[in-house]
Amino acid sequence: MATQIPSRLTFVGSIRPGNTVEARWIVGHPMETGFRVDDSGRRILRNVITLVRVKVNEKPVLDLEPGTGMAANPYLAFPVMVPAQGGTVTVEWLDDAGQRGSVQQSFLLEK
Amino acid sequence: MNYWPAISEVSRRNCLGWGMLTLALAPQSILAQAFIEQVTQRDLEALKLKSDGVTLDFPRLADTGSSVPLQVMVVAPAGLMIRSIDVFLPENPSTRALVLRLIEPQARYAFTARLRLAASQEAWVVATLSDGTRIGASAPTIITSSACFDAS
Repeated sequence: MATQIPSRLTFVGSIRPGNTVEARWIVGHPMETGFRVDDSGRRILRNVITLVRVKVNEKPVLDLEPGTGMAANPYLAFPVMVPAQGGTVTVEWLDDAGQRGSVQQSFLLEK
Repeated sequence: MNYWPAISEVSRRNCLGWGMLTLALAPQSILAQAFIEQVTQRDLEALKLKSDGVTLDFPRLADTGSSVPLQVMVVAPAGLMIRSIDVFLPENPSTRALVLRLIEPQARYAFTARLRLAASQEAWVVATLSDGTRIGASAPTIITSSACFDAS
């Protein structure tokens, strides 16, 4: 059974309708490059996140294709516009091993 | 039926013509193939990309290549939008580090990511615009301890 990979999504900025805030996403993935060998000389299989999809209120806004050049525990900060009615941002990912994960965060609108 | 021309039909003029056409199309095709092939520093320099509107914040010196922060700001020229942004690390074993595809094209876009570098090199950011043209810039960094192959 695959281990649960922790992931976190936060917003920075004034969360008001129409504003653009910075979303910061981090996931505890090893991003194994496939170029390393273990102590016995065997090649460690590549396992990197290959696809990330960002959705705002279930509507895709950004697709990301990381490669082995992304550091372990990938971090990405990107802009998101706050919808008029608020809602949620979801970040979903898929890796070489077929493991999937997602994290969701709601906009708590400022008054 | 034989579709291949006889040897006598492959004239010097034909060869020259196809050769010149290939050379003329080469710079544009490099990035189109970049998703499946490797690109080198020379390939990227040959594109002679305009860097207006592309700002990179990348450390000039990093202790370790295992996690180097890259901050990018891209502003599209007037009347154009950004469709996608590619990050290339030409000295890495796999040169394509990151691709961002904007589902809804944007006039300006900023992002931050952490990269893994195998050697001292220039990080390249190439943005594809709504009319198919590309703008891009690069920033060099020196690392004292490489990543990708070791335990970092």
